[in-house]
Amino acid sequence: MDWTEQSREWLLDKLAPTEDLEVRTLRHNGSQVELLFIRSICDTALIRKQLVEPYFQMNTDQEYETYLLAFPGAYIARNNVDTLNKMTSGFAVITLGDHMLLFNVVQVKAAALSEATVESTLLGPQTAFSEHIDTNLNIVRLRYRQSSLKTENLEIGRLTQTRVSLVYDDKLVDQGALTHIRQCLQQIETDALQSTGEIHRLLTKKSYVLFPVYLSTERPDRTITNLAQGKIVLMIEGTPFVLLLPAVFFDFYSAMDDTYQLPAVSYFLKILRYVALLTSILLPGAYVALTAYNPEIFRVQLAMSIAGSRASVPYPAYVEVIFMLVMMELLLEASIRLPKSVGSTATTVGGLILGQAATQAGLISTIMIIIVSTVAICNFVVPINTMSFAMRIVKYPLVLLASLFGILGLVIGFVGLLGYLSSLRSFGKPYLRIFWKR
Amino acid sequence: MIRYFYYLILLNMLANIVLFVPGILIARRFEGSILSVALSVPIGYVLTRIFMRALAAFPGQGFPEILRSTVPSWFGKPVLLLFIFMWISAGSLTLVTFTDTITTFINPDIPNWLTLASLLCIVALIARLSSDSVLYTMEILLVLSAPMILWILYKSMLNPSFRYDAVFEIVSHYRHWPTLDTLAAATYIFTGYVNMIIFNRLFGPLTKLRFLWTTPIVGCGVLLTSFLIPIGMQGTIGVGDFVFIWSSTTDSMRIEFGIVERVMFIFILLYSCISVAGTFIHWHVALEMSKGLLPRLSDNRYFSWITVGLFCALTMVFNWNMNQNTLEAAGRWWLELRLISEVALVALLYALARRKQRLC
Amino acid sequence: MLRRFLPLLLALLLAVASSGCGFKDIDRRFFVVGIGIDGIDQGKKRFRITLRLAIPSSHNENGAKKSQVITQDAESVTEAVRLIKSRVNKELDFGYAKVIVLGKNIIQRDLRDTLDWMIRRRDIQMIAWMAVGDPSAEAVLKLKTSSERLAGNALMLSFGRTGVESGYIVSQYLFDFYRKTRELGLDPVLPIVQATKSGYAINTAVVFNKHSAQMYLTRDETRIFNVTYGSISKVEVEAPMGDEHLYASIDKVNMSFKVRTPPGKRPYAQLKLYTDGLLEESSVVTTPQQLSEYEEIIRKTGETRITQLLQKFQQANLDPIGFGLDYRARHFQSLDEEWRNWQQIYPQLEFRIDYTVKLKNTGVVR
Repeated sequence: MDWTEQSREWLLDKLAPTEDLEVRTLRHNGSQVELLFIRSICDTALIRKQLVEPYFQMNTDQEYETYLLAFPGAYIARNNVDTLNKMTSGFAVITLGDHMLLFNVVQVKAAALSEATVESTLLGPQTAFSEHIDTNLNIVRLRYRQSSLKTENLEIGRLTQTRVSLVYDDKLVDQGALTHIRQCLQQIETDALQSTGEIHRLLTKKSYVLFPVYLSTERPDRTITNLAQGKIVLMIEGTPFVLLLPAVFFDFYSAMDDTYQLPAVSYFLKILRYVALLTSILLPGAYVALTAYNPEIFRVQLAMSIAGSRASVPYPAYVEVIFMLVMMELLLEASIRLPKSVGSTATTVGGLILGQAATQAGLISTIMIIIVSTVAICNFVVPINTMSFAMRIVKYPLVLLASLFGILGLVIGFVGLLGYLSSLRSFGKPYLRIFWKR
Repeated sequence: MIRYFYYLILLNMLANIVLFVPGILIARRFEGSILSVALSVPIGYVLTRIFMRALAAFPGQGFPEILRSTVPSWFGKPVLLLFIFMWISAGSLTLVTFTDTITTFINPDIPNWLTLASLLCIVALIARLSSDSVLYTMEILLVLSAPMILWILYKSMLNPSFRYDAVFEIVSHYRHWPTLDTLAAATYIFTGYVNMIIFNRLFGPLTKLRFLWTTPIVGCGVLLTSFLIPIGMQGTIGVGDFVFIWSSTTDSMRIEFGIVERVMFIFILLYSCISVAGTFIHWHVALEMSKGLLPRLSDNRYFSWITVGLFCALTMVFNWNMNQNTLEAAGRWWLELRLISEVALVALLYALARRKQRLC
Repeated sequence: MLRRFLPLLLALLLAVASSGCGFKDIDRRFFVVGIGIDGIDQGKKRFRITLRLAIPSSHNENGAKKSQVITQDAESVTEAVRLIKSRVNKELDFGYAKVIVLGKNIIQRDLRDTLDWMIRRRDIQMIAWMAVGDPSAEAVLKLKTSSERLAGNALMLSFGRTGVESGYIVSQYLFDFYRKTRELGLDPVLPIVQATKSGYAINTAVVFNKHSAQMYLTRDETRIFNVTYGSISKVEVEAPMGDEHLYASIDKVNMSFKVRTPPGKRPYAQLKLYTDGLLEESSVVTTPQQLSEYEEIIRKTGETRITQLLQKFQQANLDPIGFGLDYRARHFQSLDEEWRNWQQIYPQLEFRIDYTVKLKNTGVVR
């Protein structure tokens, strides 16, 4: 085996098995050359025009080589490591007899990208994935230039035959989780698959699971960070959201801003997020428990003002709380579906009518408005959307327990929630375990 | 991973307040409590050391497996049954006394049995989970409550109404030989390590325990504070009048510029987390030992539900028959029984470890 | 799917059916902010209970009544409270009872009877302030000061030192009072609140033994007691200088004492007082160079006055400073033995006072 053969074997060993590696043999006039490139980051039209067609038009390898070396960005390969790096940067390798040629055919599909709408940051990249899986693979490959990045393609959905790609870094990933995911994906039986949420539901078989165990995101930077930590990425054709697995509870509470800001700022933001979490689930229950069962926990001035503001409300505290929380949920749901032209009307309706007028009509107390708006604000401090929905639902059982048992009910509910979260596993990884370094 | 061992010890140290320890020590404060506090520190430390040394001979094995591999089953099964009973009673007593406190101070209108039933539901649900989930839940509860508890202890010592001469007066009564009940109560602080008989399944070989020397220091500190702080706040004679000593002591503290003025509520809420954590740890150990006792039945899907339901039913029956007087007597008896069984367990394990190492 | 949720639904139904007791909205409760206990002698009725209830008002209503005072005579405190409940339309909540006033006529009776109800109940805060009401607890609780934003707040602020910090006010928590009634070697002291037409005045105190009130202190004695007890940080002291007077404002009082019983010699109590302050008023011309002279004057006067007060306590066999407890802490005999010895030592105790005064300056002018 000569040097070129050896290098070729070495390159294939490093890069394969991955579905986007292309190995093409061109035979003409008795000689042959091989073309190796990674399909998702290379411009196939350029390859066809500049590499494949001229080969069949020229007579000798020498001519072909001279032709190619005339292009900017083309040169003879020096060593294997350099060749590998260049391949992952979008170069094509042409094996000519006893040496290799590198040719720049990179394609950056950044034109079709839009801004991240659901998850945004202050500093850092602002673009989101697009709905075409090829574009997404292109972005990921170009930003994570490792030969160990492997992709696997599947088709799921009897009628839609949606393309699904599994992307992972072979050196860092947990192989057990990988085989498990492959098995689970092969067992999925459904008619149509259009989004990551559907895959999430199909992978977790129980129907009453509340908390998301896989993270769905539309940001490339979060995907890259997670790939570097050894997670597996599931990309689906037709949706800009990708699924990152496995995910633990604290992943849902980390925003990309934590790494882009200075350390002190990022600690402050993290603490703020957890405080918001605790407030949003405990505050309504605490209000019911403390005003109806144990008002002596407050200071006397606070109790007096709460009692004063509740004086005109005709029904008990928990009805008031549930009523206001449901109104807030309805407002939030409606604001997703409102056409842009009536958007401002919704704000007016929500703010003025529900808040001010209801208080003056004596339907709710002023304290309740503060509580409900605090809870609504705190709800959206969660960076990931699926978790914020889960937390919105969690506070209702806690309010119920607080109205039945007082402050003890709240404690019981909270401990029960902690126990439930600790028992969840995301592909074998404990969901809620603090101080854990992966 | 080793930090979970220290968490188990810390949880027992903090949970002692619920389990009659300050009450018994204070009832005999002029008759040798302070000396039993001093004696319990070396006793507890020695027992811990022997136990962990013995357990290092059985890496990754729980107590049922150890018994199955070293002793014949006619000896192993009754021993297992005895210890199951000890663990169930530990959890039950914690919950019943704590329900008493809650019914008196927080929710006097909700009937006693209903509060207990609600606590039992949560404890039962969590005790059924796998061992590592139980440990993670306990970790979170401890991390949330322990700093606040430390802060309360710190605040109480700097309180201007705290009289140090009352504390010195009690310490000056050391010239009195301790009684068994105060010794049993004081050594309870150091008992956290026995839960390792089941949680050992999750650990590797435990040959080096680098921070075990901090245990007697922290334990001594906790014991002294749980015994002496009520005396400093309520006086040497007056402290014996109170039924719920720590609740009344924390009621005497005041955070002037805080959100909640009465420290008692914060204290009771924190202790509900700690009591629930302590109980589900104990019942998890009891459940796992029951699974070891009846290995064929334990494959049934409903086994853990039924067993835990049995524990709950026992607790409810126990609560029904108890009033304040019988509960205190039961607590005292149980602590003495616990001391004896703990020493027996350590001795047994040590003997089994020696036998195994001589045979291998 | 329903089968999975069946146990959950059952538990929920059971819980909903049997619980919810104790659910009482905050506007269905009357908060008691002050409790007054007077003693009367009307046949079987022994107590007169006065409760001051706070009426919550929202900000919209102006001129609404802030509080309501209800009085009831009965045989026991519990019965009086139950009778009061039948006279109001909302549930009484004692969780905010921050002020407990004992009438002047009840402190002559055995304290145990009076205190029993307050200590036994779980919802009365142990950090409630205690006081003696002159002429009666009812009169004190009926007072309404115009600057009071919340009902009952004025007394709370005075005692709590979050409002006024005066050297004449002795602040005593309920738990502290109870502790002192039971402790051997420490006697309780309560402030006296005088209700006058225009407001209230708190500048005297009364010392108890284990059973009832024993000694009433005058204003000056109260101030000296406060300085000796070390419980306050801001107080004014005056010292006569020849024919004139000197007044100093003290910022910091550090006090420590030891009881020593050297064998064969007379037992003594060594008090160390360190105070820090500046001149507040003087009827003569002062100069900064004579600061040490002024310190000396204040020191001498202070020492004499404190010794006089302590000897007065000694003669009445009262010990509000706590010398007995200190003696007990330093000796290692059994409880009974120590107490018997102390009963004999206390009448012979000599008081040695080491009073250091540091005046920082003569105020803003020389």
